[in-house]
Amino acid sequence: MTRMNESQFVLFPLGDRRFALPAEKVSELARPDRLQTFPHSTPLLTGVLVRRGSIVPVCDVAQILIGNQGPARKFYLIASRQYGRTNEQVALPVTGECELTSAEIVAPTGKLPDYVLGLLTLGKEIIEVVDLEKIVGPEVAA
Amino acid sequence: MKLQRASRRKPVARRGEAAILFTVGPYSFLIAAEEVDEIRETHELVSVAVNTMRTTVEKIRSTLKKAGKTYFVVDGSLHFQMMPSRPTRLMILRNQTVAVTVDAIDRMMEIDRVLPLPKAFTCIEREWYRGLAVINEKVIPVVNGKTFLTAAEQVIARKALGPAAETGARA
Repeated sequence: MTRMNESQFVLFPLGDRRFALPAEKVSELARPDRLQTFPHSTPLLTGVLVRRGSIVPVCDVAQILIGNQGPARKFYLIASRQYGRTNEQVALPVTGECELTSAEIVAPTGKLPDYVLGLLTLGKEIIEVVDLEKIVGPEVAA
Repeated sequence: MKLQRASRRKPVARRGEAAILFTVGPYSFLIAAEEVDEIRETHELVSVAVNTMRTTVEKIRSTLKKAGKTYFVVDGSLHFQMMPSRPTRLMILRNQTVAVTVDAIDRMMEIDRVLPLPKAFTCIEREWYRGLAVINEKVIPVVNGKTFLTAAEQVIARKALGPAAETGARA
């Protein structure tokens, strides 16, 4: 089993499951905000938020991670996603409070989706660390 | 030290730009006033829906004769892939033989900034919109008037309509 150095991660809940993002990717957890919509065709995007004068796209990754029938999203996790040489903020609707933790990430094994960066073991819980670049992008099928 | 070319970005911000606020279905849009030649009602339109049905230019529902020219009239709701709406106004675009039906013209206004569409948007909306404007905390897409009907679509439309563009039944 391959182990890497311990790092910090933000755990976020989607329904009964928790997932993780590398802490350096996360900027804040935002309270429910006014979601604004306009016509578009990009999968997973449900609208945008206006945060401090900037427009932040909202990407409902729960559709990929737990399926379309997830519970109501209560907060927005504001994270950064890299596009080439630039970073752009994206808001991920989550179903509850998030948690910062330090843990060792284990390289994914077996048949896990490409967006799984690695796995964390917290007690009896196995948590998938998600790669935003692979889950929020044109290659993700609706 | 390796020199890197500065990234080229389309100049999307035109300070104090006059724009027309209009609605299609439940959504508001902005278009630069300089892209619109005229606004009129829709009762002079000639229906060509039968000719364009099941073609790639199905969004052309009618034509308009004006000053000896035939204008292709794009249904705004079909263009933006929305449910059909009830258009009452026609925007005739400048420097094109293209017009667009919309539900209502709200007002003229001045927009300070057009923000780039976030890169997370990757599909056809990147052609539809020049960017986004924030007006009283509301995000409104600023449409690109040149993309309502591309040159290629106009060629397809002329082929699909043929003589029907001249003699189609009234809309």
